[in-house]
Amino acid sequence: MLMPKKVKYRKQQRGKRAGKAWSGSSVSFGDFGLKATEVAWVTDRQIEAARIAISRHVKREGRMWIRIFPDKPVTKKPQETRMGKGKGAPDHWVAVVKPGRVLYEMEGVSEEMAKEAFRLAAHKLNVKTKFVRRFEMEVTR
Amino acid sequence: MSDIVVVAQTRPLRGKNEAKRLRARGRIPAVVYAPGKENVSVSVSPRELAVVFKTGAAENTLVDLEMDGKKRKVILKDYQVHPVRPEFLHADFYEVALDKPIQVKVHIELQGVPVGVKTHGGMLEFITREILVSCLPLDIPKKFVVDVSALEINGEVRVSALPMPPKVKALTDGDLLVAHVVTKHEEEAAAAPAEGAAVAAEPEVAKKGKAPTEADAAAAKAAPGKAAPAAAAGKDVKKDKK
Repeated sequence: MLMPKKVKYRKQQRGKRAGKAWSGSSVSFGDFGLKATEVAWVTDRQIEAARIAISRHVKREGRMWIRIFPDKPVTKKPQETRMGKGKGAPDHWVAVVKPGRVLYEMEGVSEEMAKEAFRLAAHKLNVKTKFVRRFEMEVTR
Repeated sequence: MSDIVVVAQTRPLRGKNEAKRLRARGRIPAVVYAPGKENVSVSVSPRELAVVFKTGAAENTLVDLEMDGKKRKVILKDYQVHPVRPEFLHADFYEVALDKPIQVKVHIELQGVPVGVKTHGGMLEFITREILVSCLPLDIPKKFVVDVSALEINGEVRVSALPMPPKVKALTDGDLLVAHVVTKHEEEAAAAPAEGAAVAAEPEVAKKGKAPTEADAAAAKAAPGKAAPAAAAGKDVKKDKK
């Protein structure tokens, strides 16, 4: 599962989810991408499940990039614990995804194959997504 | 090079609120600049701007910008798009002098399926998608088309192999890799062992202050009782017990 190697602090506050992904919102490495259209915390498990869905569908054809990284720790209190007594222990990691963020990219496969692979991957994610091409390809269609 | 006309209107008001009002009216803010000249704030139609991309040369298309009854030769230097919707938000036009060379980035297009991919099961990696060239505005190539169908496994195309027109000078290093055919990555196999191991593991917490030196480590070994409990680490453990 993806997670940071080293952190400055073990726990974080939740933060706000406002705004759009002004950076990381264009297809930069491959030809096709999967773009988030809403805000969400995508967990390390979801990122991994979607990656596996893509690589299984394309059968190791082409190349894939994961454009998000779960660098935010989420804490959880143990079951049947009363409120208070401080913040819980770190449980899992999430990536803060804002509308417009490109989550995955691919190249070296046909558009139909990339579309199907991203459709399968989107089912593993907790965020609404859409299939995108490089910007030049998008506007010239 | 096709001549495309974009009609621009000067806009006296500036700022984000005025820009929002402009976009609501179906136009987008833009700016025109040139060396030694004042910047001019204008507004253009995004539909006319999209036509620039349909020429195949994308940003390097020479455009006639019609402003106050005069036509200026410009190129689309930069543009901003909405992160979610494929809409233009802003455009930068750079006025060019037809007799002075300019530096522009030109896209590279790969053509054909390499032999290494077709018969040997390799994978084509497209590394450099555009290169910087210097030429007169009228000589800007639309794109560089490279035929990669003869590439075997480990075969490569470098910038020096691109078909360069006589009046165009490449500024990007000739040794830079454009594309190559490689054997497929063992991605699935590499990722598999990490799945089980990483569930319980927690990342290392960076400590405040200077990093422990070798001398400190030696001292800790000599007197384990004294040096072992680091103050910061101890606090963390106590908090977790809560």
